[in-house]
Amino acid sequence: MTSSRTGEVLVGLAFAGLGAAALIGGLRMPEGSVALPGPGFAPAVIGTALLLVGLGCALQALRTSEALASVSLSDLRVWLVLAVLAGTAAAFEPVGAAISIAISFALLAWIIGRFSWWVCIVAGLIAAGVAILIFGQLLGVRLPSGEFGF
Amino acid sequence: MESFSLLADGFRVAFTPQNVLWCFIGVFWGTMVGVLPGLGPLAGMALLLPLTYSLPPDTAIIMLAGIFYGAMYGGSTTSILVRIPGEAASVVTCLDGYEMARKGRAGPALMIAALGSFVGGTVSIIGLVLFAPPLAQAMLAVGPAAECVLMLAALAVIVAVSSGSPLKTAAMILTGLVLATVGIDALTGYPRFTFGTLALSDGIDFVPIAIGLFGVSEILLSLEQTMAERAKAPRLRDLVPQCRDLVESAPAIGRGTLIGFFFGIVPGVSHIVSTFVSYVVEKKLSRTPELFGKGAIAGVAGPETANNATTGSSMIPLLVLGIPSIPATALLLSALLIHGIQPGPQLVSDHPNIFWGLIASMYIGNLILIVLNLPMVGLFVNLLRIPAGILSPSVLLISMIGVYSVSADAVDIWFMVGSGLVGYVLRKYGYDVAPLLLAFVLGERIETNFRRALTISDGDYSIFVSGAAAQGLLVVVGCLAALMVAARLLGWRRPSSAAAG
Repeated sequence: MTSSRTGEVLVGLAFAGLGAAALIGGLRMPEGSVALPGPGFAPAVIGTALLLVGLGCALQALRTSEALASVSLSDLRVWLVLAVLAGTAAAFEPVGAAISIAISFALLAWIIGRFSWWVCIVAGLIAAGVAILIFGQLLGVRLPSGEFGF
Repeated sequence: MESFSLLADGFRVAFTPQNVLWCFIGVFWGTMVGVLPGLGPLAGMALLLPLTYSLPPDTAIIMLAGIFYGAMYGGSTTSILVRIPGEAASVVTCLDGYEMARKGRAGPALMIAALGSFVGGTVSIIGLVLFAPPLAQAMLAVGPAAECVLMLAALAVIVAVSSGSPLKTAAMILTGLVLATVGIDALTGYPRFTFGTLALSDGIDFVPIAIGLFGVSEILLSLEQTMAERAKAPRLRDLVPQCRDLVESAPAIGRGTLIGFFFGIVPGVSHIVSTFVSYVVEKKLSRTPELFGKGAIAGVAGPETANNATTGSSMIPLLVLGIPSIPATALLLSALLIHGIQPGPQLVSDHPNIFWGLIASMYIGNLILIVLNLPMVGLFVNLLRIPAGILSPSVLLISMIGVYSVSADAVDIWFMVGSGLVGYVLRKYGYDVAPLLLAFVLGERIETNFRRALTISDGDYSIFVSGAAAQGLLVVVGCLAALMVAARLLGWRRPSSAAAG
C-alpha cells in the first residue's frame, strides 16, 4: 500500500518535472520574440505553466489531511502484465509477430486467468494462428516475420 | 431546404451496399465493445482503425462512427442486466435499470432504453443537419486568431467544468499540450524533443497514446476487480413494454433528447454529464421521486436518451470546427486526417459526400441498432461469460497489432505500453485522462494558429480579442460553461475517471 497523499505528491512532482524539462528544452530552441514566437516559445510557456501547476498539485496534496483510503499500486499481476507487454514490444520485430503473440498470449492468459500451463500454451498457439490469419492474411496488415522467418 | 436536398444525396452515398455493410459491421462491433466492460467506443474504434486504411474515406468514417454510437447503445444492456456499465455514460442506467431487472422487468427496461436511444440519436442527427451547415458557413470567415481562441476556450471549459480538482485537470491538459510539441515544428522545420530519432520527427502518434491511456489502463484496473454476477437475458416476448411504461417514459425521452443534444456540443465529458443531469431532472420533476433508484422507468429512459443524443451533437464541433468534444470523436478526427480529410468549415463544401453520407449513415445505423439488437440481447450478454483470462489478453494483443499496423514501427507499441502505465497510475490517483488526449489532439493547431495570427497582426496580441468572431466565440463558450456549471449545481458529480471514450 502506498499512502494516497505521498503518491499524489509524487505525481504532482512528476508533472512539475515534465514541465521543467519542457521549459529547459524550449529555452534551448530558437525562441523568437514575444511578438513573433519561434519553435521554443510554446514548449517554454507550456512547460512553465505545467511546472507551476504540478507544484500546485503537490502542495494541494500536502495540505490535505491524510486520505482515509490508500491507493494500492502493489497488485503483482498488473506489473507482470506490463512486463509481458514490454517484452512483446521488444521482441515483436526481431523475433517475429507469430512467436511474440503466441508467447505473450500464453503468459497473459496464465497471469490473468490462472489457467494451467498447457491450456495457456494451446491458447497462445491458437491466438497466434488466428491473429496471423485475420490481420496478416485477411486484412493485409504487414506483420514482422523476424529472425525465424514467420 | 438545401440541407435536406443535400441529405438526400447523402442517403445515396450511405445506401450503397458497401456502405450499408460497413455501417452494419460498425454498429455491431460497437455494440459488442459497448457491452464489454473495459472496451469503450474509443478502444473499439482504435482496434478497427487499421481495417479502414484500404477502404474509401466515406466508408471508413461511416464504419467508425457506427462503432461510436453502437457502443453508446451497447453500454446500457449490461447496465440493466448485470449492473456492469459497459462504458462510463451508462453508469446512471444501472441505478434504475438493474432494479427493474431484479423485479423481472428487464425486458421493458431494455426496450425503453432502445427506444430512447433511437429517438435521442435520430433527433440529434436532425439538429446536426439543421445547425452544422450554417455554422460551417459562418466559420469560413473566422481567421487563425479566432480559431486559436476557440480551441483555448474549449480547453478552459474542460478545466472549469471538471468536478474534480481543476489543478489536476489543468495538469492533464498542459501535459497533452507538451506532448503535442514533440516533432518537427510545422512553421520552421525545427526538430523539437526528437532526440535525433526519425521515429519522433512526425510527432507522437495519437492512436498508441489513446489506446494506452484508455484501453490498456482500463484492463490493468480491471485486474483488481472481480465480476461475479451472471447475466440472464430476457425472452423476446418479455421485451414489450406496457402502455403505462410508454406514457411514463415519453416526457423523459423528450427532455433527455434536449439535454443530450445541448451537452453534446460542450467539450469534455459531455456524454457522461448529460446522463447525470437527465437523471436529476427526471427525479426532480417526478411525482414519485421516492421510486428513483428502485426501478423507475423514467430513470432509464431519460439518461439513455440523453446519452445517445450527444452522439449527433458531438459531431457538430468535430465536423464543423475540427474540434473533438470527447476522446471518441478525437479518434474520428484522427481517422479523417489519416484519410487526407481536414475536418472544419470546408468539410461541408469540399467533401459533401463524406459529410452528408456520414449523417445519412447515422440514420441507417440507428435503425439497424433498434431492429437488430433487441433480438440479439442474449448474444451480447453472453459475451460477458468469456473468461477474463482469454478476453483481456485478446484485447491487449489486438491493440498491439492495431497500433503496429498504423506505422509498422514497434516504437508505437512502446508508446502504447508506456501510456498504459501512465494512465493506470494517474487514474488510480483520480486524474481523468480524457483532457490530456483532447489537448494532445488540439495542441499543434492551437500553436500554429497562435503564431500565424501574430504574424498577420505583426505581433499585436489584441488580434485575439478584437475581432467580432473571437468575441462571439467567447460569449458562446461562456454560455456553454454556464450550462455545465448549472449541471453541477443540479447535483452532477463525475462517477469516476473511467470516462472511456
